[in-house]
Amino acid sequence: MLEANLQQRINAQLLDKLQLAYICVDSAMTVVEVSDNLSSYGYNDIVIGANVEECVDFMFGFDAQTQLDLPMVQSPSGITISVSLLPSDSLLTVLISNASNQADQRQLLQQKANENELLVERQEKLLTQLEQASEQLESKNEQLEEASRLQTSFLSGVSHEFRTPLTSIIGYTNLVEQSLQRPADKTGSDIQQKADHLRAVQRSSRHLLSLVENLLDQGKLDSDEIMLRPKATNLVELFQDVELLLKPLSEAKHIELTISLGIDDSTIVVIDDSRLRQCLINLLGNAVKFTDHGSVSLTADLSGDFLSIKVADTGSGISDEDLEKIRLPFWQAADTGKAGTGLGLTITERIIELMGGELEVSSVLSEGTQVSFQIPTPMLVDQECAKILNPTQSLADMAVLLAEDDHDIAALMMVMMAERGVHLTHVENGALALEAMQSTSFDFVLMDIHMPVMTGYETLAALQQANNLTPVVIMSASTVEAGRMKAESLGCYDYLIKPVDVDDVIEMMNHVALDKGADHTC
Amino acid sequence: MSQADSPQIKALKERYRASFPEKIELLRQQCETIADGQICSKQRLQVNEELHKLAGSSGMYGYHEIDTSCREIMAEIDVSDAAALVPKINGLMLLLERHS
Repeated sequence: MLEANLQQRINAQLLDKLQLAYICVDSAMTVVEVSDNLSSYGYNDIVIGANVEECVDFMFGFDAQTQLDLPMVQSPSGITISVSLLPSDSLLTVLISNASNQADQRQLLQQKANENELLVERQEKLLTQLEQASEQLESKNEQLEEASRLQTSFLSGVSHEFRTPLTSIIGYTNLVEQSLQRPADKTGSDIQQKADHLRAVQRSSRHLLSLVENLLDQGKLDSDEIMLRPKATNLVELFQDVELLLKPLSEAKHIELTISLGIDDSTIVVIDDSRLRQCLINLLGNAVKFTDHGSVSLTADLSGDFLSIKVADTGSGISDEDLEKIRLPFWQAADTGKAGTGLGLTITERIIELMGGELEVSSVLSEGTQVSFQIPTPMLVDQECAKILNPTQSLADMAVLLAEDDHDIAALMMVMMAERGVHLTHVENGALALEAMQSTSFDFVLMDIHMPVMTGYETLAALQQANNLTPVVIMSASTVEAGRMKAESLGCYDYLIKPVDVDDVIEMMNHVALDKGADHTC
Repeated sequence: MSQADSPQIKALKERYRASFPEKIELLRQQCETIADGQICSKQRLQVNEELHKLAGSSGMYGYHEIDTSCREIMAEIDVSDAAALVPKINGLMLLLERHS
């Protein structure tokens, strides 16, 4: 008996030392014996005769024959235990050992594994970012190379674009010079011819100006700064102007240039004539440039309030592949040997879009190209046309203010405008202009920039702040583009560079008068 | 301006032409002051403004060569010796005399 008790104590000590506990169950899963230290794992309520599945969670669903190791089980005391089910004969011993060390090590390992995983993930992310940066760099590099190529191509082409109007100017001035060398001919036809030639020179000069503006427009394209200034326009005169400008170029290449108009001579429409002229010159200029034999034709029809224009040539045509690229800025077809800025079509397309149309291009290689578009073009009724045909009649009623500190310029402007039926009120600086505008309602203001007391810019800013919408046209001797941009940002109606052509002023006043009379929107 | 001038325009042009030597003299004096060594940015600005006005008015009165020449001198103001500008300003008078 003593030996048995001793053995039991030794067993109990051993179990405690090894942190081992056990539960013995019979085949019916009834607890038949438990170790005394079972409570150290929180199993306090296990009594002999109880069903083990009911008092030990992890035993649910097992039978007495199950042999199994459960390495990590959470005991009720919170200690992680390792459980071994050891069946023998009709008994099942559930051996429980402390596995908290293993659990800690496992947690540590898991933590390290997690950290490693995080590091790998971070590394992968960095690698991806590096790859993306590398791709972006490569793409930027390609873009820079392309930009550099286009710039080179642009610079070489720009001279050709300028050559077109310059050829026209040289040609017509030669004709005038030759006529001057001939014996004096005072007949009306000779004088008329010289006048025609000089007008052609003037048109080409204006085209040169428009080319420069094209270049400036390209900068504005990206920032959506291109604005339309629709005004009353005689379409037939506009097409005749364009024909006269392009004729010398087509004749020099022995190409037939025809312009067919389905438009009445007296038709006046509201459109930005300079932008339309710019588009037509670009399209016809391209057609002539890429046609070495045959003809270039322009047909225009006005139906309802829509103007349809088609330019067709019998030139080299454009491949399907190139058709997709022709609208890109600075792009030019390779292997053609034709110079150009590569801006014309890009700007033309954008302007036509702004006018509410869409440029369509179709082409067959070696056969020719057709470019067409249709734009809304409101026609003016007779009464409005009368104002255009006799503008000074309506302009005489307009109250016009001139702010100019130079008395020589002011005096000249006042006389020249008076000769056109327009009477100006003159003030010497911006402050006096503001004062005058407070007491009198002016329809139109002409203003210098460099004035004492208050400059033109300051006056524009004050008017903008006061929400005064009187159209103010700036007249400045400064040709710096930044000056124009500053004035435009301050809401000026237009910007004229001195010497100012009074006919331009009259044209602007006429536009303002029309805007007041009828709210035309394009 | 290319058409026959009215009597009023003719009179204005005469007046402008007559006032031109005085304008040039004023400019020349301003430049000489600078050339004397009393250089300051305000003086340069004054000369620049006078030239700017002269460019504007001469162009309006049809003296396009004077307009261009004024702009050329303006471009040189900040980079040239003021003394070097005086002969160019005197040259404006020659341009006026050459203009028939």
